[in-house]
Amino acid sequence: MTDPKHHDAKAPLDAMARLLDRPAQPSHIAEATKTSAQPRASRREAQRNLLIVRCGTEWFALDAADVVHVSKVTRVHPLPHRTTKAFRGLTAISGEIVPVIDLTGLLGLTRALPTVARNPRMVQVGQRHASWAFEADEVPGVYALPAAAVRPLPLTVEQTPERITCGIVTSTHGPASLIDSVRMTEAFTKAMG
Amino acid sequence: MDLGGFSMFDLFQTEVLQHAATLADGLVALEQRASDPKLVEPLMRAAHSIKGAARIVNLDVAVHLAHAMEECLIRVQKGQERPTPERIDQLLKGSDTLAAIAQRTSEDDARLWLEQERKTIIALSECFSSSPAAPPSTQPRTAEHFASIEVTAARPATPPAVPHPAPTAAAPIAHSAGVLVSSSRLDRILELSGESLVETRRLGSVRRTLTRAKAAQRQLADALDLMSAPSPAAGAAIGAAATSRQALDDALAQVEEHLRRGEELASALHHEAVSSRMRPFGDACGTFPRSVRDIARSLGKDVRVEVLGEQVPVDREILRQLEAPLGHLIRNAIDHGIESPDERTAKGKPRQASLRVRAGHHAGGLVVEVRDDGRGIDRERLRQRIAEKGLAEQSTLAALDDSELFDFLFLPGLSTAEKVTDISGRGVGLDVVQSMVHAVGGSVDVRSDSEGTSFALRLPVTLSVVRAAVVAIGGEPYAMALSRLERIDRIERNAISMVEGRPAFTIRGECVGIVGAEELLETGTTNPAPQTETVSIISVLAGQRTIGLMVDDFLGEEDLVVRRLDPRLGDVAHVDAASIRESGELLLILDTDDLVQSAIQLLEQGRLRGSSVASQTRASTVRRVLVVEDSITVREVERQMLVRAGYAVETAVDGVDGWNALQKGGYDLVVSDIDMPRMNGIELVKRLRADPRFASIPVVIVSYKDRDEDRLAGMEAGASAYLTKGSFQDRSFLQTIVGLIGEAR
Repeated sequence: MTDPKHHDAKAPLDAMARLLDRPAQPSHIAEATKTSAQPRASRREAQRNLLIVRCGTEWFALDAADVVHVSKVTRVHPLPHRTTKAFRGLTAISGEIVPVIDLTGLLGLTRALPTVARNPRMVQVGQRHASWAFEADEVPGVYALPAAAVRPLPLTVEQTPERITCGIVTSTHGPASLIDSVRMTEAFTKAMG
Repeated sequence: MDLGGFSMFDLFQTEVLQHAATLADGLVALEQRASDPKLVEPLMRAAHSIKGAARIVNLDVAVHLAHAMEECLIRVQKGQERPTPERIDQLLKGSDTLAAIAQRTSEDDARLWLEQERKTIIALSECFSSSPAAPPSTQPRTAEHFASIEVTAARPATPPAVPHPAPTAAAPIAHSAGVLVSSSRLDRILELSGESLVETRRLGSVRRTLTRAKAAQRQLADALDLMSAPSPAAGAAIGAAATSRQALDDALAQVEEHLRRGEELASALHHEAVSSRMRPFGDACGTFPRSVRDIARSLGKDVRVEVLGEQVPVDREILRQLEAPLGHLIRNAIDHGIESPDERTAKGKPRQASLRVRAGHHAGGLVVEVRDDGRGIDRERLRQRIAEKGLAEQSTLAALDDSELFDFLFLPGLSTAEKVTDISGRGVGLDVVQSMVHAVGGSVDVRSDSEGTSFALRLPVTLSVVRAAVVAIGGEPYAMALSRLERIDRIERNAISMVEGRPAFTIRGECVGIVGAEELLETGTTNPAPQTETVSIISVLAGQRTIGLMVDDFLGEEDLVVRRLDPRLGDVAHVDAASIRESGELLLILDTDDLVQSAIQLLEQGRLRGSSVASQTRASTVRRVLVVEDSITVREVERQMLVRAGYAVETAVDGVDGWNALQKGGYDLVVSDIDMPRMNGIELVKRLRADPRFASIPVVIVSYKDRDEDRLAGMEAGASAYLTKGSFQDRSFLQTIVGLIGEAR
């Protein structure tokens, strides 16, 4: 028994299958090969994800890989005999006990005038179970910047042995100092005394 | 467990150590019950698995040895050979050798070692194919070499990495099989479970808000009911009010249900996470049968060890610390307590002695007992020994009862062994046992008669949770373990009396000296807690007497989950650990003994003021002055004058530097210039006055500017005094400062 409706419904499908199954034209293959053979970098520039934060009057950039967690400001418990201008004490961030560094005190930064709006956040950096936190006055977020956009530090900073930064990037908020993971670890460890 | 980060050699090590432990345990059991063929099966599998693991890392000598042992075990299983003590010795040496390979630090190290030991190991392998009557001891070098391995392996201080015999690949996985989880992951689970409990409890505030909304809604509905004039608007309002009441009731019920359920779940999870720190007591006992056998054999004694309470859960930290003391007590019992088989027969005791290690929970604590059925402690010889060492007089000793006499056993250097043997009496006495037990807050009980001796260690069940008094010191919460405290009193400030200028209070007829906890901790709080009418005094034992630690307030008792301090901090004086309260707030657990010790030290050195209790509390005993001045000469003159007057002085080079220095707090006075780069003196004073933390710190301005308008500008900004630099000559500089904050001390 033949069903004309059935026949009608099947015909376009067959046509489509034939269309898809047809051999590719040599010119198409050549073009696609050429595109695939392009080096990756030239197709899309290497990007670096950076967390931009403000401490006092300065902007800093942190490699996203160095950031564990950004949270609301938590209460800091001073540590007897240990609390200094660079080390505030300990705090609890999502159940983890984290030492808190005072970046402003550590680097001798200028505190922003009280009139400048603050939207403070606790920034936890390092690796889980080997991390530190510091309070930033403002954390606008993570920005993807071209890896090549890091410019050298000014000579005056570069000559400072205790610096924790390694370059300057331009964020939407102006120039930001890029924090160097190794130098940061050294300085923070030292600050814990 | 993620095995991705491990090398093949790491895996080989873990596997071989597991199977070597199975072999060691099983061989000892096989020796005692030679007729049980079921015992051989797991041993064969263990040897076979080691062979396979060694083949993967290409350690052919180890493959050879494991293969020879496997073949030998197959013969035993088929009944072709009997497991004689000599054969068991050889097999144990074999398993020790395999474990020794796995304990090398790296694959290269293992290869090097195997190359050196190749001949010895091949010789050992070969003796498995011959009859046990030809033991390797006929080859002197072999015997010597393995004797040294045996000593290492017999020491319970180096247990195999995984004490429980893990199932081999071929064996079905047992129901309660353990899995390897890194302790940092367990800690993370504990952290998160604690946090989820905290977060769940936050719903409580939503419930409170809803309850308030419901009360307000009821008032609104009541008011609507009173509006008597019937109008369509009023009718609609009453209807809406009823609907909203229903919605509020529903929401409240839902929140309450959610809160209850969430709390239940989060608490259960937290409880599980805390108890995952517990391990069965048996984990510490895996090596006992083997070490007892080896020690007893070397001393010519026959001892059977029995472990009871293997399933009793014990805090893994206590378990770890128990290993050395337990090993010591066992060696001690076999060496000193248990008689030789002949001596036992003469006394009418069974030839085979019994040594029992038992763990159990008793009266809220953990009791671990090591009991032998040996000759008991010779009290006369003990008295003699104590007298010889000059530790007590004969006359005193005669009057001591058992428990007092046995206390001497725990003194360092007191060994009752006739001669120093390899097994015990190596100068390491029972004092190691007592110091471990005391360190975790436990005690030791010794009983002894002619039927034997027992050492009972009473320990806390867990170190993970501590019952503590939570107090406020300098506005921050701190905790002290209750077990260390004598009493807590909340007293009126005017109940504090002075004795030679030091504060004290009288309780139950005893006059107790008081020390401010804040002063001891030097937390550097810049804003001392406001003077309250009452303070709390925590009484702590200092030797035989009591000392009172004054705190702002006693906040209550809490069960705290103990969290180790970040190892990167090293030792922090006076602080034992940290904890997170149910509110999510962090607190520090203080080391009470350490605090008391420091207090006494400071008192002896006359460095503790103590009077801070009566006056305003202050962190340091010497008044601190900050000098802010850009001219190096003037800065130095000011600094030297102040230091000579006894003040503690710190300097800053301009207003910004000064402002930063002030952040760390603790200054009693600031001396500042006016003309400075970055931030001048007037700006600095204004900023100080605007900040509540520093508003009350006196500021003395010292400037070359001596015009009236300059002086006025300074005083208007909030300076306490305005001096010119000429004041250095006429002492008015120092007089002004003494007038403002008093003498340096």
